[in-house]
Amino acid sequence: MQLVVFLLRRLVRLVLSLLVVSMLTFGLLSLAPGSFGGIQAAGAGSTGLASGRTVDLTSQVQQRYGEDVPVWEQYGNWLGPAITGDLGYSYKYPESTVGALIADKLPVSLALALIAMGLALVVAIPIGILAATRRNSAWDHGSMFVVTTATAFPTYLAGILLVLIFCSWLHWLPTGGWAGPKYALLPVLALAIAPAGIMARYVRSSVLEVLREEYVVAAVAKGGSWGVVMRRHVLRNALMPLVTVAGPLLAGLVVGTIFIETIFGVPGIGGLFTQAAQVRDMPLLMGTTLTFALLLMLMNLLVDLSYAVLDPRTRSGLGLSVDPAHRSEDTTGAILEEVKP
Amino acid sequence: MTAQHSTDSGAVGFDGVSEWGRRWRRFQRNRLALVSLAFIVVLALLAVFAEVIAPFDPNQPDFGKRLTGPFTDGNLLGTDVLGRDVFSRLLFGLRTALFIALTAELLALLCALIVGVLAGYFGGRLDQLLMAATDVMYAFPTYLFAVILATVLGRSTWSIILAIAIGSWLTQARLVRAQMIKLKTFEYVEAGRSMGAGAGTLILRYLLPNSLGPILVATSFGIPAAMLAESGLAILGLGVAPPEASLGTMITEGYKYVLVQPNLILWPFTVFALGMLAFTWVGDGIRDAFDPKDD
Amino acid sequence: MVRNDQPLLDVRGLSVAFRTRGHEQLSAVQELSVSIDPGGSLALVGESGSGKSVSMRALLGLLPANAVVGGSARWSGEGDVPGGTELIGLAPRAFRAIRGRQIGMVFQNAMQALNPTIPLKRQLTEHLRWHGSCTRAEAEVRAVRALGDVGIPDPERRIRMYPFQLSGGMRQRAMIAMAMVADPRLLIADEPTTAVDVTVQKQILDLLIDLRDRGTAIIMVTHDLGVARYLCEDVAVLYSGQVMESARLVDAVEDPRHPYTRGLIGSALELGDDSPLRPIGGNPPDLADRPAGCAFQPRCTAADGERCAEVQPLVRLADAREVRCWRSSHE
Repeated sequence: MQLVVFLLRRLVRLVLSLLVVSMLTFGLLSLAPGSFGGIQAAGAGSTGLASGRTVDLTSQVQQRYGEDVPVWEQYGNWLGPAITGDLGYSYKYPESTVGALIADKLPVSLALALIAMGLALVVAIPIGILAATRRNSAWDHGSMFVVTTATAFPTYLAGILLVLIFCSWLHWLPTGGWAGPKYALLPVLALAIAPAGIMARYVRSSVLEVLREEYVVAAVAKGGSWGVVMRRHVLRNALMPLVTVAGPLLAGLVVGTIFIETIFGVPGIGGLFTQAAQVRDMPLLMGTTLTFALLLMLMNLLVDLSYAVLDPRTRSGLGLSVDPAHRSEDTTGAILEEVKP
Repeated sequence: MTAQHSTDSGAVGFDGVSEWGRRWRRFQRNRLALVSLAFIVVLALLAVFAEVIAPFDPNQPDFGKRLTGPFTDGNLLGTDVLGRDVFSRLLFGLRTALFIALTAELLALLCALIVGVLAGYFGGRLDQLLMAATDVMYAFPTYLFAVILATVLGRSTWSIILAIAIGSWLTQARLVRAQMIKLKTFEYVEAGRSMGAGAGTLILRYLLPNSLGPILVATSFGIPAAMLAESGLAILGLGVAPPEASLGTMITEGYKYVLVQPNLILWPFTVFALGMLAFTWVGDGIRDAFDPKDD
Repeated sequence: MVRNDQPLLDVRGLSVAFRTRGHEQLSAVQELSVSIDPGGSLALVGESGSGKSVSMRALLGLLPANAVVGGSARWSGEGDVPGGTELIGLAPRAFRAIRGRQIGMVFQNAMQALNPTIPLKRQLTEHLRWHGSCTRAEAEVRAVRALGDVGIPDPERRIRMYPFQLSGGMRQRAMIAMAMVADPRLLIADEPTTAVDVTVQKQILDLLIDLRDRGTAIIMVTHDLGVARYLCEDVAVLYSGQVMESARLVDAVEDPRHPYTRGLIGSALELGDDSPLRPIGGNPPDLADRPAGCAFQPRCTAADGERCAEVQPLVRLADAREVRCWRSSHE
């Protein structure tokens, strides 16, 4: 029951946030000088002969794209259908709806982000655990040096570095394009490097923290071997909070695909967003921005829920507990570390 | 582990001076952080004295010698596609990048301090507004917001600074707010209040000095983040308008010729990457100096 | 059964030092010698930092890697090993057979010593399974019984709960049950009543008395002589890593020989007569900066410059008393 209330509350917040994001985006872009109509007209006007025709054409084009009415009316005209899921037609690709464009490109970006996240996790967890259990050893210092270096190379910096090494220097891989797994290799690597670094550091400090806990000493005092105590008491509790970091990082990766797609020419939603911003394609820009926002919020919700499932203390906080008489205070807010992209 | 109850004495405690001395010693023990700090100082000097050092006008094209390699015709690092001296452009690009990053971070910090202190100390309506705003911003990726702002504001240096600052100040405001809320319940603040100190005195003499650690750490990570945002905008075609150089736009331009003349991207990228690393390690050093986890 | 002439645990000259970053060693425990008979009860009393907890953890090999442990601790709780098993430097595998099964440990704060994310059932049964002494079903039956034994009502239901779902007192009991479920010969209780409020304190102490009466030997680590007197026959008073006085507890309380013991009694609520509390002035010395000679000398009301500046040996008096003060043998 409390879970339902929790979910409902979060859903309301999600919808409200989406609304504010859409208003902000729409309002800001309307404030800006220039519009899709204007840009198109300017393009056409430069080839035209008389300046009088340009003005005429501008107003014509503006009328066509509904840009001749006040901003709030424009927003209303957009919002009405948008609530029913109809995001309208793109200006730049007039033959497709925004929804169809997003549905076409989103899977590519999501796949990139998810694979990169998986890779980052697989690399980061063992490195972090080994560094923590061999604290102050050569392995610890060495791996933490590498890992800290990695954190300084988010998305496109890593991307450029990889291109310099594998394309410009070694000539092993193509710099861009999208025609098979070979082309996904560098984008995935570029995305994975920084999150892997951040998570490896997090795992290390988290394991160290748990190793200092009295219940670990207590488990050893009960006669547990090192391996058993590590598996049953240390790792479980140390890796649980990783969810709180991995969630926002994954959201960051989805956003990071914007740059990666620009660099590597990957046909994803990030490229769509960039193009829309450049030519002021309002419906497409609104659609892509809201998609990113929605992904981010769903990711946060997922983090909270999965953490609740993993940690019995929060589970009772969400009301998922067997025994509702013992509820701890609301911990979900505290869980969300500030690891925002 | 033994010093679990150590309150951060900052500039307030009896041993205020020695506390800063201790922090500096802890920072120095981290060789990497020390070397990085030195490197940043060198970068800053190069940027400040760009005019003096640069052998050429960074924006003067010379179509006679385009895309030459390093050490040709007096161009230390070669020339770009318009025949401009890469070394000179690098110096000025560094200056632009550092200026944008520092100014944006300072601007964001200033806003964050004002709003964070007021919201954290006094609470009430402003606090609710701040929390609601951060809630929404959690759904609005900083980069997306910056891209939209940059689209709206245009490509001048100041509009880029503004876009970056607006995109990043909220998280810092939240940090300051959290510090205020945590510190204002501490006993020495209560004691100060009971002795009749006003809100202004309490904030300036007790709360701010004692939240200096987390704020300094956030700033030291905020500057490279701002540098990153600048180059990120450049990659999306929203960097400083040509012909002016910034590390971001140089990297973006260079990337177009990465297979033809990798020299063009290599230098700005190396300087940028090393700068990012240096800031990261200095930030690490500061964090450890303020919050020693070991011994 | 073990022969009665041999103590259950015989600690001789135990020393613990910690390697620090500057490569010097900080000595936390020096030449600690105590022993406990089967079914006996010993209190280690001292202020925080006196080395009482550290020495007990050293016995079970629970100290961090930078600890250097010396001396001897013979454990004779395990059937018929002649002369007992040497615990200091014992191989991990052999140690695991003793920890938990033969020697149980109760920690100061159950909230910290119980894993917050695992239900009680697993925490109470896992070591039974590790030691391979019984099946899963048997382990569960024993765990439920142990919970009932420590006075937790409705143990079948509570054993499925997480630590945070129990009240503070119940958590502390559950931790004792966790130590007792394997039926150890010796229970080391490290400040078991410090983290709980007074009413629960009494319950925990009664529980420990009950265990003692059923034949479990108990070493209780505490800073509170009053609590110790409630439970223990013998006492060793520790100061700055050294035993200052060891005696039968009744004797120590009624006729303390060491000025520090007198100080402890004077500053305890229940022990002193009607006279006002007399706290001991000053603080224990820094481990890195012990005074030469008697460690207690700077705080001692009876200090005498000349004699106290010499290193004080532990002097054996009549009726098995030992005191580390030159005055004791002159009075």
